Amino acid sequence: MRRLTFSLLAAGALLATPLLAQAAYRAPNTAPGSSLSGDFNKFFSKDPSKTPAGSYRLSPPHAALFVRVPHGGGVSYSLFRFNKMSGTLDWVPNDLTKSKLNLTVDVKSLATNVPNFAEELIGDGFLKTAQYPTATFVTTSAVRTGPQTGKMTGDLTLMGVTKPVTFDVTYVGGNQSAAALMNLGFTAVGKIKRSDFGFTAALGPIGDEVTLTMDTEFAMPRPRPPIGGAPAAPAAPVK
Amino acid sequence: MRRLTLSLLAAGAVLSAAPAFAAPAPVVGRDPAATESGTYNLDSRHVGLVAKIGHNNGVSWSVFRFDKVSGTLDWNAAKPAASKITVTVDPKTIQAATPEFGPELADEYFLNTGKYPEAKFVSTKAVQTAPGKGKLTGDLTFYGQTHPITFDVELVGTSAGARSKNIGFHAIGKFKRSDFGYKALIGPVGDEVILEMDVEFVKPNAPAAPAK
Repeated sequence: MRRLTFSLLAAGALLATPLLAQAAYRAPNTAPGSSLSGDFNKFFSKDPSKTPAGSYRLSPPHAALFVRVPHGGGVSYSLFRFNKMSGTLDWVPNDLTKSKLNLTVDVKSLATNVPNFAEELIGDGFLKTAQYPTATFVTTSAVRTGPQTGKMTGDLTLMGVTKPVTFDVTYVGGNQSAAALMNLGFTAVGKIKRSDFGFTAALGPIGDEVTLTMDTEFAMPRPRPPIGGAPAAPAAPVK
Repeated sequence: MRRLTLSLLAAGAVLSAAPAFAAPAPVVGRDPAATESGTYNLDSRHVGLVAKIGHNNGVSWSVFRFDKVSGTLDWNAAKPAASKITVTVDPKTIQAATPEFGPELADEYFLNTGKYPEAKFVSTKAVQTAPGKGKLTGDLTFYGQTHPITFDVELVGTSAGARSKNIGFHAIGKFKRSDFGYKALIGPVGDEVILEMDVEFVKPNAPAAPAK
């Protein structure tokens, strides 16, 4: 009985994953007039409502997360980049309240232009990445504020502490490319108090309010033909 | 007597070895009139210069940092608009998200830093537009050509501490790279480049006369 239950559970898990979806090949709807029709670079739009809803993946070489931290009691801002991020966007352009972003940042990938400084900042005196190697963000709510703008709130987990943060998000553009059925670009700006996350090192000389700026590009990859080749007769798109 | 001298020496050693955080906080303000005129050096450990450029026909912004920046500020505390700034950038030190892409951008097909090893900005005119804010115009030399550029500049803060006087700025400006003859991949990669700089300039205090 236990073995049967286990197989049923396993089968259930498989059904939930996209893996099984490939067995029944569903051609994407590329009929003329749909946003997935057309050649590379012929579709470009600053109107997010023209892009298809669906699951998009962050393109890591096209992700730029920079943070600015007040230095010297507020004389200037120090600038740091986190080079490594991954994430997914469940994009519902005509109802932003349903859009969800899920991001993971490799905090160890912090980069600065001062020799040996990144090593110090990810160490035990500051970001403690041995204990907290990643920071994550998960959307809890989103609302449109204009044709290309919105506010997205979510749970940021940094150094093991989770607090809400709100980003002002701007949709930069969408297009098709060789690798992707659709690419989406965004810029997001938000502020946090690092002390809220227990990151209190050098408070005073080094500021509490940290500004996060993220420039990102997400891609909906082109579907791969099923193993063994595409069906002989073009299948009518499954609606 | 010797013991007293030794303790004083030890105290001096501790004070000079202590990190900057341990020193008493310098006075920080935003009023140029409270600063000292003179020549300040760009603090190359407190500068963040990035270039943003449209990617994938303008779908998103790609952002690159230039690590090596130097410069000077001839600061006129009574009349900040009369101040002069020079900033020099080593474009070979361009950084991208992945370690191999920076050197590719520095290479011949893109920034050709072997042929154009230096980018420079020399200010020619400054105009105050609001308290602590202004427009700074100057000559940008990039990819071997020189053309004018204007930055929106904000005075972020000033400080007068035990060791130095410091002035910090945030500046943002843009230019068309094709104006400078840099045309690689225009279309897929944007023509307009946005430059954004966070920077601190420092004028060290004259060392105190040694105690007798």
